Amino acid sequence: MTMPCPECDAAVPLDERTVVGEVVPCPDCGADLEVTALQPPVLVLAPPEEEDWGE
Amino acid sequence: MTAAVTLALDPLTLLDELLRIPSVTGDTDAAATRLLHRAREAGYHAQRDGAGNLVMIWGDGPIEDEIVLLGHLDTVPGHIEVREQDGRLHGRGAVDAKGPLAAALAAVSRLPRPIGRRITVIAACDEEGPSLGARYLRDRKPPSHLIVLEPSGWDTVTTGYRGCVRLTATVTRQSAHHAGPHAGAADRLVAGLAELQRSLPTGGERAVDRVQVRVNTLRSNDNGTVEHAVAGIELRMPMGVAVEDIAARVAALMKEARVQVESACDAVAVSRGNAVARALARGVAASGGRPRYTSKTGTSDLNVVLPRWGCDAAVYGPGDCSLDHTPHESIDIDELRRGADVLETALRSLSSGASREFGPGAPAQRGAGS
Repeated sequence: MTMPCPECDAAVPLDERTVVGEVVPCPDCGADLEVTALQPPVLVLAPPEEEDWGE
Repeated sequence: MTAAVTLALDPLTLLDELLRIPSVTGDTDAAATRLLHRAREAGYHAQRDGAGNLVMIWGDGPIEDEIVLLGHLDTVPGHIEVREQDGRLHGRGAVDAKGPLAAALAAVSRLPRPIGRRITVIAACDEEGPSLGARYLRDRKPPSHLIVLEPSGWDTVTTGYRGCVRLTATVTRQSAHHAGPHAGAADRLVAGLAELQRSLPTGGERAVDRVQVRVNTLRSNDNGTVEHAVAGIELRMPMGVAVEDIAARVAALMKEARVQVESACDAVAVSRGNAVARALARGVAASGGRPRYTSKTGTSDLNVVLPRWGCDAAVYGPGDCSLDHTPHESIDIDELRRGADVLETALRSLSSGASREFGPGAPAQRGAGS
């Protein structure tokens, strides 16, 4: 299965084991895309990661 | 081929045992020896390497298709009585990082053998020091996948660290009467440090994007002939700020000081979409969570090995990292067990090769070698 990249419209591959919250890279533009739903699949530009201190 | 039968390690039992053997950086032999025996009993092929790291191998796949889980056995000083209380296990190293190490060893020991992959758990030495163990390891053959074992919470994957430069700045002056008109060595050093604190902290709004200056030590003496003043300085740098550049800026800002770099590593970041991060995300989801991602203001052995290995990588481990290096260090026992479950699922996913269907997932950005 593929879904269009919300940034460049390229086909982003997903498989049956993809989970909500997983981040997938667009193979074309390289954007980090977060899977926010699965039925049907929804891809959004992933928000910045959180920050934490320590190791 | 006949499958080997062994008893899987229990993460709580193993962690409790490890916590009872102090292993402050530089004094890890007793803990490493005990862990070596436990690992062999569980079915690992275990041995110490030339740096004192404990290398524990599961499976017999080709080394070019190896998954490495890199933890550390050494801790910072500070005795904490080992005890179970209110669902938490207390002890020095409970989160940083014997807890993540115990979770990983337990997770791997649940995997069947042969599994068709070589999975290697490494308990490195000296991570809380200058990372001598990881510096030794970075010259080995790179694995295909790397999980660095540091605490970030059972549902969180760490994908980046700032870099770090530790340096000393020394001002030397001829001794003079303290009532005289000229500033002494300590005065000049303090003025230079103030300039450093004023000028260097730059960057974005988030701490992980900023340069941070911390003065760790200060000392001075005057033997009647010469005055010395010495500061130990620690700089944390975001991606895009090179060690050489920041050291040069320090030297330029502290013109009266002799500046010497003691140790350094560049910042490092990986894509949240690389195969290891995605396998961990699937592990979190399988344990009932929604994966979170974080970058950290500190450093880890990822900063040391990834620039050389260049493989798919992420950092994971159960435990609250705000308890690192504190007298309150403890880990939630349910979280410890859940962390082992997440790692098991991730390793099964990586071992099945399913994650490779997504493509290479190379690290997004990397610092240069330290």
